[in-house]
Amino acid sequence: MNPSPFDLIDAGVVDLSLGLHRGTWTAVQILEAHLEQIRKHDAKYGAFLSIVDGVHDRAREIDRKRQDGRPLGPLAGVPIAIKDNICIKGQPTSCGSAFLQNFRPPYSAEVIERLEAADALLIGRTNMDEFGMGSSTENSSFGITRNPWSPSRTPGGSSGGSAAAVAARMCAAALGSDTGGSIRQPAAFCGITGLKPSYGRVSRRGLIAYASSLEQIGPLTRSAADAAAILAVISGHDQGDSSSSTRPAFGLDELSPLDLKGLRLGLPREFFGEGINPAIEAQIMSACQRLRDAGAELVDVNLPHTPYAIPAYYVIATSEASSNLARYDGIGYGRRAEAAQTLDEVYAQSRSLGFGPEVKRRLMLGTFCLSSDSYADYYDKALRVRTLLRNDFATAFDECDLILGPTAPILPFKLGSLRNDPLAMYLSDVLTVSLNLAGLPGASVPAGFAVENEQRLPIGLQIIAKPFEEALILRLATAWEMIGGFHRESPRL
Amino acid sequence: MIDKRYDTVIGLEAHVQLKTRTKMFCGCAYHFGAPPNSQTCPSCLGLPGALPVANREAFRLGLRVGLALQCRIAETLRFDRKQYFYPDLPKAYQITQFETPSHFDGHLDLSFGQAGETVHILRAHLEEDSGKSLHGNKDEGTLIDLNRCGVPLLEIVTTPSIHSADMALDYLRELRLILRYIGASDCDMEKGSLRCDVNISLKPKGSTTLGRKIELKNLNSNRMIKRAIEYEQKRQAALYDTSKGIGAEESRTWDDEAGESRSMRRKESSADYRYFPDPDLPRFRIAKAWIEETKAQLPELPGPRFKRYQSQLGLSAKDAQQLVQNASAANYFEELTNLISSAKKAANWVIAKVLPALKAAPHLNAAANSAEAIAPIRPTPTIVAELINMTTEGLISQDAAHTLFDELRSSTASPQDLAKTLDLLQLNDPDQLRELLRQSIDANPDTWEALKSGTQPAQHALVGWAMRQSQGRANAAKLSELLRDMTI
Amino acid sequence: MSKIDRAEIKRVAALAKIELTDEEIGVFSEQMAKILGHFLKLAEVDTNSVDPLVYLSSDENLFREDDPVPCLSLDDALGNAALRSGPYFRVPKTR
Ligand SMILES: [Mg+2]
Ligand SMILES: [Zn+2]
Repeated sequence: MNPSPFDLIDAGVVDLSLGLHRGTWTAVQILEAHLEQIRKHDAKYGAFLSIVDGVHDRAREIDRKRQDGRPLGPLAGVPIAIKDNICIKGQPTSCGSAFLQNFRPPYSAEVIERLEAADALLIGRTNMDEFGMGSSTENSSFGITRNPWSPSRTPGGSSGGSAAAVAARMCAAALGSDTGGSIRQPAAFCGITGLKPSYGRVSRRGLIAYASSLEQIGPLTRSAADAAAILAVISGHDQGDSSSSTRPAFGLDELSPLDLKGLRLGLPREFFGEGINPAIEAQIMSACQRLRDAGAELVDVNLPHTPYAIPAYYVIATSEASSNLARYDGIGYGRRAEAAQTLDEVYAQSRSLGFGPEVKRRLMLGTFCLSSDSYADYYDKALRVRTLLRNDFATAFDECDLILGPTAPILPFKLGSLRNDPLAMYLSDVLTVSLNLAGLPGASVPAGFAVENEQRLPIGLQIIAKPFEEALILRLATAWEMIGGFHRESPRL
Repeated sequence: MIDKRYDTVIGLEAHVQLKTRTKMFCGCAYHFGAPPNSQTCPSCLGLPGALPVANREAFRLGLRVGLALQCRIAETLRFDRKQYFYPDLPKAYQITQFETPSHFDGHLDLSFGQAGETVHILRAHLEEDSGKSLHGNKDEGTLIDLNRCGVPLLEIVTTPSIHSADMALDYLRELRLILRYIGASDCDMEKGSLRCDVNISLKPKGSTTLGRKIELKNLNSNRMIKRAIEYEQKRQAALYDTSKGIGAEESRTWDDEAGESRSMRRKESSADYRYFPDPDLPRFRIAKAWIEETKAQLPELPGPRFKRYQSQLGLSAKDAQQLVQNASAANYFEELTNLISSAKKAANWVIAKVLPALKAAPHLNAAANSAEAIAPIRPTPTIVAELINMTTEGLISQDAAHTLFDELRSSTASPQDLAKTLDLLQLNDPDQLRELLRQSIDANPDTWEALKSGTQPAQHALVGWAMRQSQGRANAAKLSELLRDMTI
Repeated sequence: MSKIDRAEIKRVAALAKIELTDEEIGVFSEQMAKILGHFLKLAEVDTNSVDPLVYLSSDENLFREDDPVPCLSLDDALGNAALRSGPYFRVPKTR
């Protein structure tokens, strides 16, 4: 009997691979169902930039493998979308930038190799803010992406394409990258689960760098169990990335059911109150109370340096970016201004043509912060404040096991509404950037909805843990799914 | 003479390529002269998403150099990015050690040339090399080859403790010798594995304040370094003489054809390199045990060796220097000395035969430059020791021994067999020798009379005649001895 | 500390190799002054006895052994270049 396409697009990572292993469905059927969903709806939402060349062959190969009785990987046949800043050998990988429009890397990122080894189906590349610089996916050179819950609104960013694709059932899971909230905030805006792993948990090799000391690749899925299944495959030390941790990889055996009794959940004062949309605050407080009702203990904690997280974050991120993006010089790869006559013209014109305004703005900011006259007041100062922010969390974790709060202070906003106010856009990252500065893992999980103009807009609950305690985050997320059940809701496209 | 009125103050910055198999931060092998852009990978091409991973061997070789130059070794170190745009620098930054050089505060006491002078080492740090720009014809523009990009470099910076062009060259020569001894670098200026920039300033004789310094670039040989320094001394002296002095610190490039230095358009001093710690690399910590182990493995360096050959082995300074200049030949010499217990004889042999053989075979010379290898020259010291014993025993002449050495370069026969085959064994039978002498006396009665009346040179004439008669095979020493007996 | 005026924007743009139109210079100097002003909020924090956080990880000495790995083919190495001459990348004359 043929499975209905509806079952296939609604099933998550764990169920799809289980069904494939059992022979309930084939990889080709899974692929077709998802491609059909993309064909039907993506013209409207713009989540995908392209479908991966050869994905049909790959699906047939996986099916043959199963027919031949050869062992299948843990993600066999699972269609996974890849953010456009993760290199796939021979496939266009453009980072949402006109500069890299025709770039095809001659190598694959470590995470891509691990997904392929796990027999996952890399289905397509998803839209993003150019080089990850943005919180709305409006800064892509290749058009905007719309929120599946409300097409006039942003899906968040920079991994907006990945989040929209997962929410719209165009893939079972997606990889995003999170430099200052770029997985968690779009997950919150799109009503799905997004996990930013601890710094060093997942190899960055082949992730096109924006801010090297802040960013991590992570999964966007429709359940905590699905996120765990992806993390188990992509995590673990990579000898090709000196910043990847030598600790053992995350393992699914760490995921025993969580007894909420006695679990201390910290609520930082600074994550509530002023600046937070009251509807969001109410929904997060209600989630926390339901967890308390189920046995957890709520603890007030302080993160006193939170007001300095945004400036510290933006100084460090733009400084690193100004260095990481200097390689786009029009010589070895990427756009080259045809009219350029001299070497300096090649540099200046290629970069000016290839980069959008937000990228230029951040490169200018970073170049300024690292200049010899500004270094002490900006870059070095930000690194010191970074120490204090990390210490804040260490102190808070003396009093609690996990920290909870909203993921974003605002609801998915109307496309275009923050475009001309870059500072306001930066300030909306206030609840996510501290984790990147401190290297902590964090997830955003669906926590309900607010209704605005008769539209249901998703709200994300952020769960933060000590470094390398992703397991605890995922166990709480699973416990919360059983209480809240919001992860089962899907947008009407 | 400028030296009367001004003191010259020179500091050198040497960049040496470390002799690793792979590059500093990626697994690409590097061979000089390989086809363009054939030795690259995502990391050294600076492709988006590529990351660096540090080469342990580069650290080890750097540590050897640091220890050989008596440097202090940094406990923890980090890498920084030095940022500037240039086509041969595809990441637009060079990974280097700005803030924490691996090695600092060292010195080199010169043993050759201006022996006794000391050059102070400010710092020696690890970094990566850039690619190469080739300046093709006008339409073609500049061509970029990134093979060299990422090759490990040690930048060795002296303090301004050098006073003349000659001292600069003495330092460079000894530095190069040391680096080859310890197998850290080939230091081949022609292949670019040693490159040198010179900082030079003048100050009025006896003054303690340094003048404004000029950086000289593009110096590709010892000769160019000497010429450039001497030119710059004159140029700067002339500027001071007219009381204009040096307006600003600047970089100048040396034009060897024109014999002059020229200001570079792009002034280094105005650049803002925006150094900051490279977030792609972790902190490194050089363990005490690693330092101790490396120190213990260092070979005897040329300076101490040079002194030992004179004080302990009784060699002349000239012989000792010749041997020490080539580590593998010196090792050969030591092996031979042990076998025959005569340093002088061994030195003569190595200088006369082994060194020329090494020079004639550059591939051997290159392969055997480090102090850890004996020159891979045939015949081996054991064979040469046999040749020497054969001469001592009078079995062969010195000339025949040298002939045999040459034959044994390509033959595996034993020296004894070969001497027989080539008919090089000496005539030692007293009866036969006396017969030869009798023939000589018969042929030269006047000379014989002269000898008997005490004219010594007559002896050489008679022995010489007998040698010729024997076609050189007679043992000359024994002939002389027998002739002396006959005159008594 | 540098003031964020048009001249400063031009200096930074030259360092970053970004060509800006007159209009962009105007917009950027306004926006950057505002943003950098916000960054200076950091000055409120007393960091005299605080070290900069340079390394998030406590892992040290992550070395690679000195073993060669295969290099890219010439076509892979140069395949993305806008301009090449045979086996070389090509740029306008640098001298
Ligand atoms: Mg250097
Ligand atoms: Zn390489």
